[in-house]
Amino acid sequence: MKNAFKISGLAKSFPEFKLGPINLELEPGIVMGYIGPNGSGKTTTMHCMVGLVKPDAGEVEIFGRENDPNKPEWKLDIGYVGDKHVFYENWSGEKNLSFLKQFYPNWDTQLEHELIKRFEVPINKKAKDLSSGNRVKLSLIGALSHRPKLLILDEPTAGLDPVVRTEFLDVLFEVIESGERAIFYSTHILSDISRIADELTFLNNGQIALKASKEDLTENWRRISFKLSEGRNDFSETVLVENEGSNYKIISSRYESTMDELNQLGAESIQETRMSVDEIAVQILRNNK
Amino acid sequence: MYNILKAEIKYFLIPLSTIALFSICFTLFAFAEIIPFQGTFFLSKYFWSMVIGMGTYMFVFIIWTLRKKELRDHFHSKLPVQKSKIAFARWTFGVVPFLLTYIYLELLGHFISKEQEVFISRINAQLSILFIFIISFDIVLNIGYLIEKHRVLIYAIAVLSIIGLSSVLIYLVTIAAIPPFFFGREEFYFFLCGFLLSIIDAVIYKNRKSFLG
Repeated sequence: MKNAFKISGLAKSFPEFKLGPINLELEPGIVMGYIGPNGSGKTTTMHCMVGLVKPDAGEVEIFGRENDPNKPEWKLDIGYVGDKHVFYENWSGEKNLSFLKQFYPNWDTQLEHELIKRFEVPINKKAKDLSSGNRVKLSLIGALSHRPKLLILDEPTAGLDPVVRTEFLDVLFEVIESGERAIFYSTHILSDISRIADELTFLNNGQIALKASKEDLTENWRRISFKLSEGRNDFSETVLVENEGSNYKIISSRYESTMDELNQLGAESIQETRMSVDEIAVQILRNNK
Repeated sequence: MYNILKAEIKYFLIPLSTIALFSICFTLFAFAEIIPFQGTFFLSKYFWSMVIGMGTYMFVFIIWTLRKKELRDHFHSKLPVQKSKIAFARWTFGVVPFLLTYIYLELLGHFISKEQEVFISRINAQLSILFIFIISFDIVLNIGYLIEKHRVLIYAIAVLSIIGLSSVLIYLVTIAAIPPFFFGREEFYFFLCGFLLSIIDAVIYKNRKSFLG
């Protein structure tokens, strides 16, 4: 089965920032959260994927086809909502969608109307008169209506108020449940993606810090508190160690291994608690600064 | 490609129609040959050629800046259309209004009096120079997306090259008096220069490394 996308050695340099080399793959039907702080390279990665920016090095394949701008058939398989929501500003939302429809043989008009109704977008208003939330929704309708096999979303909820953001995520959740669509979703708002993602890739300073399934992360990361008379600053598979005298609080990325070590060391009053995806993400990104 | 071109024409129908209206108004005045009591032609007295030229340019510039402001290149580059076809649609949309206006006015020259032909020359010369100006501006901006490093230096070289090329052209036509090989009017060289620059512009556009702007 072909990957939804495959990025090999992707690199792009700017005067004060270097992205990559990035190597990343996404299987069909999987939701991947692409998490990183502002300026980490998430948007640049996506720009290179969809052909808005030519990388300095590397290749991108979408369902086995190279993202060649002169052979754009690969774009029929993707729906992209980027950081800029561009339209014919003096045209209504409806007219803008009619324009897009011409380019996609798989455009589903019924789905388009369902999404318009679901999102409650004022479709007859000129694009320039739409609020930022409605512009995002219109972009999403344009991206979803041709039933793409891969959805690439670049911080789509940035700037949206909490009500609209929740609404957007509800629709996205329905989209995920309804089909075998792969989704590549970049965000720095962890709560958005922790609900829907299967896999998480953490990006920092242009490099991938970690890639793992959500299940792996939540199963293996733990906060552990214990008492240890022997003074130590270092334990296996730990990312954070804090202590006040003999009272220790650590964060482990492989708690079983850490627990074995603590038992061997004779640690007492060991308590371990699970961590949320948000907490794990914060820790990973902090450690890679 | 045709869907993109069709959309652009529909979207800018009012300014494009206004450009056409200018040409039609000029035609009517040319044929009317209104002569005020001083004995000079209405056309020359009220600088109709400058009005036509500047009016056309103003609307073309409005179209150009609006496309830039609305990030049209960004929008179109996300579509499943070959870059070369988008470049060709863009070129067609940019060049054809100038080309049609030029040809129309040249043809008009065959139907009006000899004394008025100079005004056709003047309008077409102005249109051609303004055509060169807009295309040059677009080239400089597109070069900035093609050559990402040392952008300011590249802009400076591009601007100076265009000024140099235009100066050479003006010298050849006016001072060296190289005879025109075609229509019999020197303004053709200006239009040809603009036309060639537009092809260069389309090639640069197609090879841009970024379509974010």
